[in-house]
Amino acid sequence: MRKIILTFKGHGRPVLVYNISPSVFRSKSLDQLKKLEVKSGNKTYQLKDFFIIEEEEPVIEPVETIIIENSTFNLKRIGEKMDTGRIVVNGDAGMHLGAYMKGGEIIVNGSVDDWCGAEMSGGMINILENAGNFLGANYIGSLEGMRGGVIKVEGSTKDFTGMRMAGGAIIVKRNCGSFLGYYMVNGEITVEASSGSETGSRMRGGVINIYGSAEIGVGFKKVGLNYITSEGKKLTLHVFRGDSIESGEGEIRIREVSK
Amino acid sequence: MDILIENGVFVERIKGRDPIVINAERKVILPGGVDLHSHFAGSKVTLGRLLRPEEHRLRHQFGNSGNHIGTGWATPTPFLCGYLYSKLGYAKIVEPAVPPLKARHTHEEMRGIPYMDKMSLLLLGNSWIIMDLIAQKRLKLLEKYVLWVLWASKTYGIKLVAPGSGEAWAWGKSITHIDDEIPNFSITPKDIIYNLARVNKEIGLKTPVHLHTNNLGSPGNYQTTIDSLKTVENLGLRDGDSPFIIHLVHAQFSSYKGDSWKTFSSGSEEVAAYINSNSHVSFDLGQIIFSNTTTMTADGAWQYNLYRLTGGKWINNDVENETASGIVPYTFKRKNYVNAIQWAVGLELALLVKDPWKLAVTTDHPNGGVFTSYPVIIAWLMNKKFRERTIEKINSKAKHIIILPSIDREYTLFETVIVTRSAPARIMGVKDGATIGIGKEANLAIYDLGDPERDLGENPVKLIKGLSSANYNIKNGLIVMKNGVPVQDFNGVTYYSGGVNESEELTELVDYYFKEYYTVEKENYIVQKGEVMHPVNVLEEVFK
Ligand SMILES: [Zn+2]
Repeated sequence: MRKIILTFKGHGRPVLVYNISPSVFRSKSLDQLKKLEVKSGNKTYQLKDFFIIEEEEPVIEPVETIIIENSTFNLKRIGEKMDTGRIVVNGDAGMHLGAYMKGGEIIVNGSVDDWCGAEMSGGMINILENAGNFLGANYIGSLEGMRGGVIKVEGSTKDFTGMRMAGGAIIVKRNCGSFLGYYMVNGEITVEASSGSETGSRMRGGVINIYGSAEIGVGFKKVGLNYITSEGKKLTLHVFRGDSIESGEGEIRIREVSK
Repeated sequence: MDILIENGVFVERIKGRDPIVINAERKVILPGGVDLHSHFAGSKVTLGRLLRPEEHRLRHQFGNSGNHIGTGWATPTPFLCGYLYSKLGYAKIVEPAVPPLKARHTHEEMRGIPYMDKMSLLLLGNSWIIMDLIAQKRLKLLEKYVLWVLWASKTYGIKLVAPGSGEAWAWGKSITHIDDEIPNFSITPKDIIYNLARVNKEIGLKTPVHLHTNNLGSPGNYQTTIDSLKTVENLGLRDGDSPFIIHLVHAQFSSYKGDSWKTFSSGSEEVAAYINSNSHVSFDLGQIIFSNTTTMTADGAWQYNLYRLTGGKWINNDVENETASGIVPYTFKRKNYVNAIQWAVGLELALLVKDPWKLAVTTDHPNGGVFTSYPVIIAWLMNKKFRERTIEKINSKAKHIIILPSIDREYTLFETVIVTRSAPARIMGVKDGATIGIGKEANLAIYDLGDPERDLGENPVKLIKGLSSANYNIKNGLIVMKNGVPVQDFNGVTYYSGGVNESEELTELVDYYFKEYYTVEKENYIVQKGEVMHPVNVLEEVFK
């Protein structure tokens, strides 16, 4: 399998690397890859200006894996719109990682900034540390956020996780900020710790599971109990339906409601 | 054969040395296109941009080779708008809905649209001053006021949008017939249409009154449309290049039968028959394209209805004592029964009306679709098989009741040139700007449409591709676009009509309304010439 290793030389300002994607790299030669367009500030650069590019097993077949070394929050739009293959990010990743992604897999051995997986419709994103705001959310103006695929975060996330989510799954191992699943219409979010205020606010459909505590609005009515087992522990979850302000049919299952 | 251009006009012989030579062998050379109905500038376009940031992710252009950046699909930002029109081979465009109060904003945006000559139409169909003057039968003063307000706003002609209906809607009422009385004004929509068409003829504007009919968009409205056109039958024809007394805008949206959405059907045969047998009416299509768009019109009442049908985000606006407006995102779907019929109605009108000089191709941009889709409409008109391919994909109930499949007519290339250039230019009274002739403005578009010896309609894919991006766009003798890339900066002119008055009666009238009703002062209301890009008054600047 052909593998490309990109070592980021570092840059003091954000760099837009939407072309770092197996869907763009495909069968391009090393020379062609070096010349791929990269933007920073108001200028256009080439990939080789910011990265040392190495190739493993240069066979005549599409690129399967891209490894980014020394990555920082300054690398924005990694894997945007990708539909196949694998990206491994060693370090942190900037905003819009995997936005509009249709397929394939991204693994980040670090944290990601805001808008990770925004409006994605397929594929898998695995974050080994924390995520920022608007994880799997919609961009401003669109009516639907994430539509399919899976995002897994081993650490915590900030506000508006899964905003207007319309399908797929988000799994967060630690805490979430406020407005989790804001305007959510479908799909499933599982938070294995706690979430902040306005959880599920204006939710119309879909499911939110919270194994810790969360604050929910008056638009949610308790409809029963749910018994589950998570990592060998038995949990009793209170099941709520809402948000009634949107005549919503969403479900929040929560271990403890905080005030 | 050679076409020679010098100092911005076509000439018989070139006097200067070392001319630029373009080899256009086996290419199609057409006059620059004219779009007489496209909402591309002004406050509602800006509000549309604010309402739909998601639309701006659908198309963006970065600043390459010195041109300006821009974004937007249905509401492209001004520079991008100029580039897109120029790429399409167009030279003159008309913004058809300017509330007088928003004229300054419209000119500010039009100043930013490169290459195009611009005209704009003034919304007068729901103005309190106009309605008061008609109700009081002060018709001479009405003429003076129209000339003054066109001059004050630096606009070109009169637009009526569902006359009286916006005003009624502001009171929570609706007008469903053109004989209904407008609340508080004791006149009817018919009075407005008749009187402004007459004023238009009297004061000698270069284009007829443009009418967006009452009940636009509603089932069964074709009767309202024909009644409205009949209203001005006895006014005769106008002098000058444009003989029509009334121009029916986006006729597609006004040609429906049925009494509900379930019984919705095409009224194209009736409307086309009326237009065929009368010489005072011109129209444009308002063809719909199956896609997502941002609809916007001064017809506030209709936009509120559309919002109730779609349930998404929307804007409605009331412009003081002048007019109203609304903006609603909408997606025309092939499989939707009503949308499929609407698609057919537009093409049926274009194919059933015999004289191509009476019509112009438009999508009522962005209401039926975006203007960059015009080449697709041309392909539908030129190729019956291409129409059939689309018919196969539409809603199956609609497929069986439309008459489009039974129409065999196919436009010739020559006819498509008329409906995208000569006819709209003539209707707007700028015929000389869309003609290849000695001494005329040198506006040209050069296209590669494949082998010119063959029937160009035969291969719709190639035709659409060719028409979508002109090899060259030459405006006033300058090469402004080459293969879709801007070559140099150039700004067209802005045509306007009207004149300053010297009448005490008129000053008294206008001052009264500014004192009693407007939130701005008259002095701040008047758009100065310095605020307009290359202003050209087609009438006398001062009238008596
Ligand atoms: Zn319009």
